[in-house]
Amino acid sequence: MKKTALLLAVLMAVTLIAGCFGQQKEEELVMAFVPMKDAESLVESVEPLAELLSQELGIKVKPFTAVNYVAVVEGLGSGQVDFGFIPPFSYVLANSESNAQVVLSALRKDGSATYKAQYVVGADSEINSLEDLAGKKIAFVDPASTSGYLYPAAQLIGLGYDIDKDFQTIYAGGHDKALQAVLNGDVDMAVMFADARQRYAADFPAAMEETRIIGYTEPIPSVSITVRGDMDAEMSERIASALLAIAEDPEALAILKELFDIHGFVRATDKDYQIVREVAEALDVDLTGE
Amino acid sequence: MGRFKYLLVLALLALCAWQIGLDPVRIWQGLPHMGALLARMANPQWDYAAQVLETLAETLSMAVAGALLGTLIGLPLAIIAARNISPHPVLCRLTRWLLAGVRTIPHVVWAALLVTVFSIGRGAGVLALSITAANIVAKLLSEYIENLEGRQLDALKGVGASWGAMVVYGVLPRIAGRVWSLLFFALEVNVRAATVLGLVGAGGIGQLLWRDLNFLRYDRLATLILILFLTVAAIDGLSWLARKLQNLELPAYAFRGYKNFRGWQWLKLALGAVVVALALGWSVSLLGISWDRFVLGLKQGSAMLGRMLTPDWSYKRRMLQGLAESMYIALFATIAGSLLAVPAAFFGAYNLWRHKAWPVLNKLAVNFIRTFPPVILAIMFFRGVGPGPLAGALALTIYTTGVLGKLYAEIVEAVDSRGLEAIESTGATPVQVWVYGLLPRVLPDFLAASLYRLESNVRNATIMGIVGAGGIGTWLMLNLSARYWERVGLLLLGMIVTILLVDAISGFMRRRLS
Repeated sequence: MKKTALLLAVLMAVTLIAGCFGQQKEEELVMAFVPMKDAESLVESVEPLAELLSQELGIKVKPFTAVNYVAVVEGLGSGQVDFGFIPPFSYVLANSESNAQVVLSALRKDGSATYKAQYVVGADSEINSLEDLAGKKIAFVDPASTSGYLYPAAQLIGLGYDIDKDFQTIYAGGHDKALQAVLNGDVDMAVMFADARQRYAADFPAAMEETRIIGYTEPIPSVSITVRGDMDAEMSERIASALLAIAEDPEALAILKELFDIHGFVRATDKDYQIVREVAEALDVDLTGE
Repeated sequence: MGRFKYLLVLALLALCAWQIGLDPVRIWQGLPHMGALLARMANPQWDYAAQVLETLAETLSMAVAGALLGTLIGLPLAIIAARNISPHPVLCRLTRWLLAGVRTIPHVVWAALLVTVFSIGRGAGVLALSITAANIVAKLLSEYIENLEGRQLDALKGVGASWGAMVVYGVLPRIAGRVWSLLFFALEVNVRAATVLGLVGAGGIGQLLWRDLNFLRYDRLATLILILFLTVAAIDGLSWLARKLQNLELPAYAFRGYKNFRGWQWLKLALGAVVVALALGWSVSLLGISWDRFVLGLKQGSAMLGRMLTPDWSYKRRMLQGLAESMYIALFATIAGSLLAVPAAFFGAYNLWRHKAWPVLNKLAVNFIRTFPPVILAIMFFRGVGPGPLAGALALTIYTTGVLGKLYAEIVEAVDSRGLEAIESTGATPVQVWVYGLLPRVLPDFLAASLYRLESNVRNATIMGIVGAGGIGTWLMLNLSARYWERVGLLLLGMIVTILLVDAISGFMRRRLS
């Protein structure tokens, strides 16, 4: 009996000590991102970016590769992630859940801080406009995707459709897979960012001829750089200016372009993303927080 | 020697705890967040239930179709793989290797691979479920055939029966009941499995579940899981009933004359054939994949497979790193879950309690825990400890506690209680009875059950990464979505070798135990 108790005590102690040992870390910032689904040169290439950012900040920056945005949103909420590159909808969720704050918006290739999503059908499809979609099989990208679900779904609801009843809906799991689904004839229509067909030209060279676009969404605020809710103002300002500074550095900018299709940053506030909140509420997303 | 072994296990647990970043402070600080999450989940949305039930029907039909197709494919494979009836020893060996290899790949990974070939939707899901079901049926059935009394087969061979005749008259009639019960077993497994397939786009209720998770609608998630719990319980009950029903056979003397009896036999055969044909047709139609689409998929799939078979060896550092992390998660969950399961079994065993309400409540709780697929539990742990291997390890620990708590309790219930009463009569406290009377007797069985669990935990740990909860699955998912097939090939190879190795070691240790 005593032996068992002793054994248990030793067990607890060893586990606790082992745990504490692992966590004696110096000050560091965890930067979370979800790799762009098409990036050939995936995760390794983000190390140099973290390195450059560490030098600029004077604090070690540790990259964290997330598989999906739920992980980043929950990471910001639980304090395991200090800042992350997250799309607008994920920002709105993180803000309502844990008061995470946007500090920067990413700039697109054309220098704007917005982008659009497009509705794509097969070239020989009888669907010519968004009015012809009743009863069709359609593909969204992922329920957490701003351009691949939220905006188009809200637009379709605005046109009088019931997403669950009027369509056979599937989630493709990626903008490339949504495109592939149209090309293979698995769905009648798919939504994706504009213009995914050019981005994935290497994988689907025939996409431009074999498909056509029947419509676009409203402009969507682009990817946000979001810091966790309990970060002090000074630190979040340091992160923002460090990112703005390294976007001037050609080496860092090349990595940003290659990995995230980011061509610079612009300062942003929560107001810039209010429109996304309104769209999300149209889709019955609970943004009341804890 | 005995104490040394325990110390070794403890050291292993500590090593794993360190590797997965177990931090008591972090967990402690996360507890209020987890509590808030549970409070939100304690508010199920009943108006949401209607939508869930609609999708549940799709998931159930996927599970049924997968079980039917799997059983139909598994039956011939079992006959080829059974050493005593296989048409050719080389074919037998090859089939066994193929089955063992296929078995190492978890169904979610199959689904993720098939989705890229046959597109998103339930088709890929049904195919993935069929593959795993066929494997289960083939393995268990071939073992059953090998254990059949051999004299009847020898007698058939003695009178010069052909191989076909031996199968038709010597094997099939004797395994029919077993096939029937395996069909329902496959169904049980499939219903549980089908819930997570939607995470990788393979249709069914997982698709809803994934949307709720992405919208952080944990209240809806709770509704969904509650409905799943009831469904799994209903399927288990149905399966038990169906296995009872197979014994309902009209005795030969119920027929007037041999002719009537033969007629009845033929009628049964014809009815059976019609039912099988209908079931097959329905399952294939549920796939929703036309022949042309199937051929297109095969073409794209073989290109993919070709690239997977030329693995990118420069990626091996990442593979080993991922495999090590998966192993730490699996070992931690198995050891910690085994320890936690001991008290769970103590409270859950019928024969230890005079008032049965206590064990009944405990069993209900343990069964409820098992309803949460480990990957979903992992996402819920994100709230407390953030994404990563720690969330995966804690989730798998809870799941392991659920499974082992049930198994351990059953082992305790099988113990003859007279020895316990003898100790009790000396005035021992319940804890003393447990420690001196029970533990020494059940320990070998407990260990064997834990080793079995380790095998399946290693599989579970490899898929944790699908949601971002650490291990090799992270890299598998990232490269799958990047269409980096050479790396996917290497990662799968690493997974297969590791799982086969763990199975072999655990099998060896289990044999030593018994």
